[in-house]
Amino acid sequence: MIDSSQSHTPSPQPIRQFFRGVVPATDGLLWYFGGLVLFFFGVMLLSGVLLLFHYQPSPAPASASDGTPLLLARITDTTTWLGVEYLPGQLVPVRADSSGGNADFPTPLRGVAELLRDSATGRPVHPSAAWVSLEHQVLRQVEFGALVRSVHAWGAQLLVASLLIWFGGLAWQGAWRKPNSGVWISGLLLLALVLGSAWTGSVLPWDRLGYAAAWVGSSLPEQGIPLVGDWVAQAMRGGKEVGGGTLSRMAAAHTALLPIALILVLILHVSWWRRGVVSGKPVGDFSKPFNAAAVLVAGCVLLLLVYPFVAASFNPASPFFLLPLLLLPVCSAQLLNRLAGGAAVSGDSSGGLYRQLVCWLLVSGALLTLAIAAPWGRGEGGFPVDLTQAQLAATQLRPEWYLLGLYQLLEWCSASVAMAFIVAAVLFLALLPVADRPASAGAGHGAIRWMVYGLFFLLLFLTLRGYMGTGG
Amino acid sequence: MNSSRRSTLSRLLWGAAGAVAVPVAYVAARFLRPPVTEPARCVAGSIEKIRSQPTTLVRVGLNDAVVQPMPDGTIRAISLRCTHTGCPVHWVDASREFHCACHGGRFDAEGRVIAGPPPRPLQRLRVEEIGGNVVVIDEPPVDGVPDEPPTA
Repeated sequence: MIDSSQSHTPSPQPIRQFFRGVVPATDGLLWYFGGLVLFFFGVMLLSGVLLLFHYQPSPAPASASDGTPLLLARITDTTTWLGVEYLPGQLVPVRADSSGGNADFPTPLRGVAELLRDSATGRPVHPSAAWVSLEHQVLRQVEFGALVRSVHAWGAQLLVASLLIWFGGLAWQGAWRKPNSGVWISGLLLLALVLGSAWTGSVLPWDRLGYAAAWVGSSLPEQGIPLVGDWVAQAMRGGKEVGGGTLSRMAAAHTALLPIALILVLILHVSWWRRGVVSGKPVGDFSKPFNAAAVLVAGCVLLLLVYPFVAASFNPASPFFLLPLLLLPVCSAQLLNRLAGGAAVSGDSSGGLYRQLVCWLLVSGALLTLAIAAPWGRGEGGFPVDLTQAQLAATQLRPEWYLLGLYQLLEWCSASVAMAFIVAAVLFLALLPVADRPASAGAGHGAIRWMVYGLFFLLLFLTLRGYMGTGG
Repeated sequence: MNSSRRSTLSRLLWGAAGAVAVPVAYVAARFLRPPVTEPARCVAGSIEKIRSQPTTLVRVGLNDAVVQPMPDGTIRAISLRCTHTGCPVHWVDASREFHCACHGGRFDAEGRVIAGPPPRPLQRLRVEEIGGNVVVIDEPPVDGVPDEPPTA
């Protein structure tokens, strides 16, 4: 598997050198999902840096470039303004007139947009700079803005999906045992950091969903962690309550702290995974690839069959759609690899890099199709927090699919019980390398395995129940 | 045979990766262009008030500008941003000149370059009379001579 003569001849291509000798001679589908975690993280970095060029992490009232305050209006009839089509019900920021109490509508919006006013006070609505920069400027005014935003949002969904599959595969293989315990622990950290990134990122548009997410996420430690819970919650919120300070903290965490931590943990994860490969006990690849592939395909077909029964209307932001979407390019990459002569199977280790590259190319096509065909939007959940209840239709706010398990848990029990459950589950998974030593192999070994499976089935059950409870 | 086939495949693959990178770079470049927005504007005051003073200092967007009534009855606005590297210029009453805060550029009261590195006179701004008020708009005037101030 490893050609020692390679180390004497410095390769002009460091990437190929890195991948040389690290790919197991077996071939399986799970390994692709590990590569996809890296790929989607790269997509998130690129699109995220681009978005940061336009995003303003400020809850302060937005103003035009000349300082004129912006007010919020609702489109009442389809119209086109600055080359963008607006549909009835959409919200647009418009300049205030010199009195500040009325809108100075541009000609294309006159008669087809109404200024939103608080029914009690009659005051107009000042949308936040964060919401205007992301939901109006990026989505409607910046060239390719809607595409970049969609790629970032769908990339996040697919990153979480890939990581869940990869981590589930690690669990299936019992990757917490030596010499792969580092892979397990860093994988657990990856999961926490990616979910943390998804949560902090969901707050940034400063819309109704983001505001709700900020409250829910910061309430969990407050109510569930003894002694330091208040401190943790206030460190998240930047105050006693969710407010303007929260947005700065979420932006700092999402755009600096978490990405840097993720880069470090990804480096550790890949390095430790390589060490397992070198020592001849690789994880992340099934020894019986076709059994595993069959399980995955059957699972996806089953999910597609189940889907119409659990979802009232088609929603691509769901595992029932995203998992088959990922499996399709992965299987195609595998098929192409076989048609091309099975470079990886024949032991040519650089074929591993090519296998991943083929997969990444196909997946980028899937991601682009998704971003164009289903532009990211949050419906009324995407309306700014600055609106009062009286100005909104009653909408149920529900989290992304990967948080539906937690959502269901919070519906069934108190926040403190839910938090205790999360802490216990994370501690259990983190302590597995210590608890499941080779010495205790035998009866105890099997029991621990079944406990891990049980935890995953519980999560799956909670997620499915969350789906049914919220009508898809 | 097998190795040549593999190297062809490898070239194809890297070529495909490059083919993806090109449109990604194109989208990124277009994305970074700032959106088209309306130019900043400000109401300098009523026409009578502007006419009654030799100069009026106003704020247009994030920049200062002076508004001056001209002998021919028109009203002129000059941006107080140096044409060299965009620093603010300020009025020095003793020498009746505009001095740039950064690189020593100097302009006379009409905005013409007297000394220093500025390549052009101070930028004139568009002025409109709307509803009895003088409105200054942060874009070149429409009279066709955007850069050259009229000689006194």
